[in-house]
Amino acid sequence: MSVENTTITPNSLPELTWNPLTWWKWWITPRQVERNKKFYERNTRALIVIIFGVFLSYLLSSISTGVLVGYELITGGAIGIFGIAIVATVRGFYRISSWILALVFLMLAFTGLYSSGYWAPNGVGMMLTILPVIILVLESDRAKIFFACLVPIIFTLTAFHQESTGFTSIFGENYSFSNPTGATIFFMVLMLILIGAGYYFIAEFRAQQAELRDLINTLEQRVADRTDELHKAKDLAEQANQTKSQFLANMSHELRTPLNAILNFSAFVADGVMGPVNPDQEDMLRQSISSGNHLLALINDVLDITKIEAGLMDLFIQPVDMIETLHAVESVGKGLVKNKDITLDVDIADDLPITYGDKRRLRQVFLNVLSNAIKFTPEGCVSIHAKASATTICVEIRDTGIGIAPQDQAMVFESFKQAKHDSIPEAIGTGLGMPISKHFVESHKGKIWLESEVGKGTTFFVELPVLTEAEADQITMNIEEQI
Amino acid sequence: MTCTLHILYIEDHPASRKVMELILTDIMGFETVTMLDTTENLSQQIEQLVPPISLVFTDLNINPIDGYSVCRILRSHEAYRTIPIVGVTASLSPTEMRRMKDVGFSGVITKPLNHSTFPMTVQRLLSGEVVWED
Repeated sequence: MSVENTTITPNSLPELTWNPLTWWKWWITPRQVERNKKFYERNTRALIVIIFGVFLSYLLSSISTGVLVGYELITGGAIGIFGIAIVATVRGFYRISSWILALVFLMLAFTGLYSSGYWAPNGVGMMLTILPVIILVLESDRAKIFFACLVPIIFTLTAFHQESTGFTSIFGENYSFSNPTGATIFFMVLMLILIGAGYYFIAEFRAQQAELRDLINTLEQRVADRTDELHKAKDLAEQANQTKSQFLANMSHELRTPLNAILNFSAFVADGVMGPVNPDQEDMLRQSISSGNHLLALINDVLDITKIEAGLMDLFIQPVDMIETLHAVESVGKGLVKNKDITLDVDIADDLPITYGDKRRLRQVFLNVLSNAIKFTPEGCVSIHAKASATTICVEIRDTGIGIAPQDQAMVFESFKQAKHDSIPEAIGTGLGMPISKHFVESHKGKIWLESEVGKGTTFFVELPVLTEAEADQITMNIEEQI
Repeated sequence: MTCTLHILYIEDHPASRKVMELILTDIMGFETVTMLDTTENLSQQIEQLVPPISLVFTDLNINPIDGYSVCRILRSHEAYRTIPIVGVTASLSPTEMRRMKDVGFSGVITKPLNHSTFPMTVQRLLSGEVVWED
């Protein structure tokens, strides 16, 4: 199990800065439109405030002078376009509406300048024309405010200059502070509102940036928290697995060490190494050994299945000579059939390729199957037949024993289950041999299955792919990852 | 069968020592078997041994120095560089086996010892084979 470190990369977020120099690119490449929807909406609202300010200044100048200063037509057109922009906004076409509004704003600004009569190659006039554009285009909020403030300051300074020098004002012949023209009022109000709108815009912009930053922080915090929790859970699980693994190793050690003395000392005495024993004593010792071996088999099986079920069963990969392995199994089988009326036929093809795997575990698989075949065959024949194709090794272990009823066949490979056999007294065991074998065959990417008929016998098939060292190592690497 | 090879077995469990001794001497006929019951002052202890040692068995679960370190220490001595050093353990996992291979063990034997296959394993080890499937 592994937890990937999750971090939010800057690329995964929408662009945070509304940059008037580049925002038109959104229109050309309409990416992240959905994500930016709220963003556009806010910009549009800021522009609406600005345009509203423009109209308010028209209105105020008209009312105060009692004259509509010649741009009624343009004003009407602007109102129409403004209406379209509002409809577009309401419909959700934020990009289009923000474009329209920006154009309307500029149009009105130019119209105002024209009609007030100072659109001329006049330094101050040019500056007044350009300033609103600069304000819109500038990236820095502080610069925006500064330039916005410059507009009324220039107006005021120019007015003072005109009054003190008697030069023709940019506001026309009749201009004076005591008799302001409609155009002057229009521009004064416009600029004041522009400043207000600028502040509003900046505040909105700041707010949405802060909101986004908060959102990112929250998200990052949440991701960090979750990652932390996952790491903790992973550590706990690893610790638990480690404890379990250690416990199994200890149990294995504690249970098998005494058996070393029990089994071997009994065998030495029974074999007469320590001096002569009478037949009764030998018989008892043989029974002790047999019981001890049975206990050892049980311990091994229980430890194996516990490891398998805990996902802790690992393999030790080395080259496996299947011919040698099967002959070793055969020699154990010969010992098992010694006291029974069973013939053991072995036919192992001599072209079985070398494969890679866990030698001990593969031998264990074939030993399990073979000893079961012998155990459940009162008399007759047990055969081992092994052959190889280009990519697989197939081993069949066939017996002429009691067979397995169809309803019991699926149970064979399940843990802790064993069919009842009254006729086979030695059919005691953990019932774990086959599930363990199945696990080992499958961890070697192979298959194990059986065919059986009650009263006629059973055939177990083990099909193992011929693995290269790299393929076999991959298995252990996968297991280690799980552990 | 009498054999003059000198075998060393490091094991702290008395019964296991006795089992090994019986198999090696009474069954296999080795005459010189040295038993060490602790790995304390290991270097001094092995310097007192009569050379040459032909085969070393060591319990893995031994104190104060565990079997892996025993192997590492032995391998650093000239006399133990190439001889078979075999781990004896009652609990065996592939992880342990890989670790054993890494520190320079020649093989592993699991407890309980199987006295019928054990002599064969010893022969294989003495002939220079590695034994990892016992």
